[in-house]
Amino acid sequence: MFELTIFTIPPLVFEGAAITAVGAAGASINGEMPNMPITLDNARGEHTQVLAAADVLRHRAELRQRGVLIFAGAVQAITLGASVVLDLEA
Amino acid sequence: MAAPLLYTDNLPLRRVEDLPQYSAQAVGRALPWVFGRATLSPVPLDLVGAEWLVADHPISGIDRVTVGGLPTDGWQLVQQLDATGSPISVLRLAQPTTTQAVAVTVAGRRHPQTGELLATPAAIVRELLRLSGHAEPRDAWAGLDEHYGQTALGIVFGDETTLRSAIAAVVEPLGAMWRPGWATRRAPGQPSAILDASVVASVTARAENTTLRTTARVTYGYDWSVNGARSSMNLAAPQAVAVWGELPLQIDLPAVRTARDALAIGSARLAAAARPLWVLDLQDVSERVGELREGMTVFLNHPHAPVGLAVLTSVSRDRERTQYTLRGEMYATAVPQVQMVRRGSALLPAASQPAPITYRDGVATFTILDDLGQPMAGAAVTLDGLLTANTNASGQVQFRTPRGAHTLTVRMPGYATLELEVVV
Repeated sequence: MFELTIFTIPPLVFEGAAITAVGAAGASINGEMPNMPITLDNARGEHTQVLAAADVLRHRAELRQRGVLIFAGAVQAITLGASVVLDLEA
Repeated sequence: MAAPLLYTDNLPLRRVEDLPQYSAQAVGRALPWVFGRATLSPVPLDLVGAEWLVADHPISGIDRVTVGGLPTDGWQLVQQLDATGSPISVLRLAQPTTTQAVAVTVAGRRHPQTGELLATPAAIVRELLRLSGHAEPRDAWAGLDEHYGQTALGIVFGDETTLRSAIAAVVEPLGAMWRPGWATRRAPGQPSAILDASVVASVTARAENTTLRTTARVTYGYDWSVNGARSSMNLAAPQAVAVWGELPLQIDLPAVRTARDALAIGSARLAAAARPLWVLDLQDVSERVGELREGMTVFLNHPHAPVGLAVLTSVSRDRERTQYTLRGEMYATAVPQVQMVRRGSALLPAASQPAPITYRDGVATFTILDDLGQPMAGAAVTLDGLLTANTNASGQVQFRTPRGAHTLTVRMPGYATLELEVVV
């Protein structure tokens, strides 16, 4: 159970089934995770306009799993489409 | 008639060795083409420093000549044919020099029919193409006339460069997008089509923080005789600074001559950089939307992408499948406010005599000139880090000092601090 919070004003929170994948594409071999792509389901376009209007770039974001912080960083890039990919940078 | 040059070919600039007589000092230099008003180092043609080639074509005139950083009236412009029959423009100095730097501010190439100074972006690009053997349709580059018809540039082509790079040097700093024969401002206009889910099968929109900028340093008024910009201004988008902090952007506008044009172009470019930019990728777009071309504005209304006006940057058409593949750009928010924070001028020391100096009865008088050669009144001048005095209305300041080498430090609001080594 993941929960993603982006600290815009007001903060945006995505949780549960909205988060379809949490990757570590940029993980280095020593375990450090310099960036983290997070994929949200957007098949019906439910997140498009919220994220388009919120100017999420460069805002702080935290990913938690069952309340435990597993990644904190800033939004480096966002891709909107049938799914939404948020690239977080540590 | 020879085939026109390809865009990847070099401009057909002659080199000094193409002249029947030239100074060995100038070997390897290209003979410059000058457009609009620009300052450059002329090419020495003789050994005594009396004749200097200003441009490899007829020019409208010479505005100003400096020798060793000081303006001089002892010159004559001679427009003549060289021994190969090519028209050249030559500066003849009354007092020849081989030791001091010569700089000339030129009103450059004229229209071959009307005689008008070629200074607007469209006029310069059309002439570059004509000189490269291209015969352009009358309406080619009309977008440059429409959006930048009042912008006066000054640019020198005096180094080996391709036709494409030369056109890019004129067009791209303005913030325009272009392809051969066509250019437009990179900003949305009236929409020509509506792209919704009924005609667009798939769309993605991507924005990255790497393109965000909130302040800008704009340099303009390039001086080709010293290879540096003479003027600068600082701009800021305050709302964007409040959200993202200071993210500086360097905007070089070498060919732009006036503060008005630099402010307009710099503001538009910072306004574009101070908001997220969605890069759109649209697949399988039905041809039912009608004719689409690059530079066209469309209204995008699709559940998977931001809603709004987008400018098409790439259009490819699959005629068999009757579908387009499109790329475009869309700004995420409204145009942010941009303010000018500061204007500045670079103080450029002349090559051999930084400031005119007189010495009498133990008192040295220095004249401090600005980048245009005008006396700079009110500048704080410090001699050897010890004595400070302000220049008078004639730009002069006096110090009682022995003869010898000294250091002058010049400070003036709006100018970078300048240190000059002088000998009295």
